[in-house]
Amino acid sequence: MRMRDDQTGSLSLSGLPPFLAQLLREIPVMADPGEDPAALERIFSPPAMPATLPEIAEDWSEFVRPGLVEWFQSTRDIVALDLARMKEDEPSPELPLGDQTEPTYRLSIGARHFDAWLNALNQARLALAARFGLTETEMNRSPRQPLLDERDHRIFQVDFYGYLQEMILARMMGDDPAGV
Amino acid sequence: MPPAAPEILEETRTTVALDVPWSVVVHNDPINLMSYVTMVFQRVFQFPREKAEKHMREVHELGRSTVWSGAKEKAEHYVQQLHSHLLLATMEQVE
Repeated sequence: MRMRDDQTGSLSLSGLPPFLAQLLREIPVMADPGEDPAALERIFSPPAMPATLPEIAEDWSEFVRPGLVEWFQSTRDIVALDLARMKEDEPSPELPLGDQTEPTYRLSIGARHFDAWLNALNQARLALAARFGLTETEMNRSPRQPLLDERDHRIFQVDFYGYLQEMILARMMGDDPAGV
Repeated sequence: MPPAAPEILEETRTTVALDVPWSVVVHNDPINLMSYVTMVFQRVFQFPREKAEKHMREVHELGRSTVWSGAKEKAEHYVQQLHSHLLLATMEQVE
């Protein structure tokens, strides 16, 4: 996978193998907590500790939560639109035709969509961790290769989304993006 | 003849109760990236980067950081902003 900035400030990803392209396509689905209680509890966390919650919770549910639902949905929609424009890379002229067995993909994320991507990636990471009960210890250990089961797969997915968040953040904050 | 005592028609009493301030507290979350939390603090509270990083480290190392204190309505506004960035944030009445 390669990353580069273009002159418009967009972030371009190319050479994405099908596995990573598929993980990207899953962002809007994974980010949606649906009816999963653990994911819902994390995405819509309580605004106060239990002692003071009753006097705040009612107004919060009535006036704040609907706005959050709408905002999170709008970020997922923007990401879904960008993902719908993901294309197959042109075959590399440097490689003999016989070596180009697996297609790779490219995707451009406009600077105006960085906020939506950051948010949707965060929703997806939090919802995945809550849904699969991923622990801090699991998240901190080096990813296992190969990925042996669904749990390994989900940990890798959370890590990959985190890596993308770091890259987008580095551009937004004007930092030197490490590892690109 | 002494002057007549003024007649009291109505007695009023005024008490001034100051609003008890509220704190906005951010709690640790192993999933949110440290760089992301720093960016959110800079954006929501207009903290300079050093201050944002100090609060981020407090959250990471101590489990929580009080990032703001003041009126209830404003505390609600900040908690709403932090939740829109998916940070674990609560408002607490200062004891």
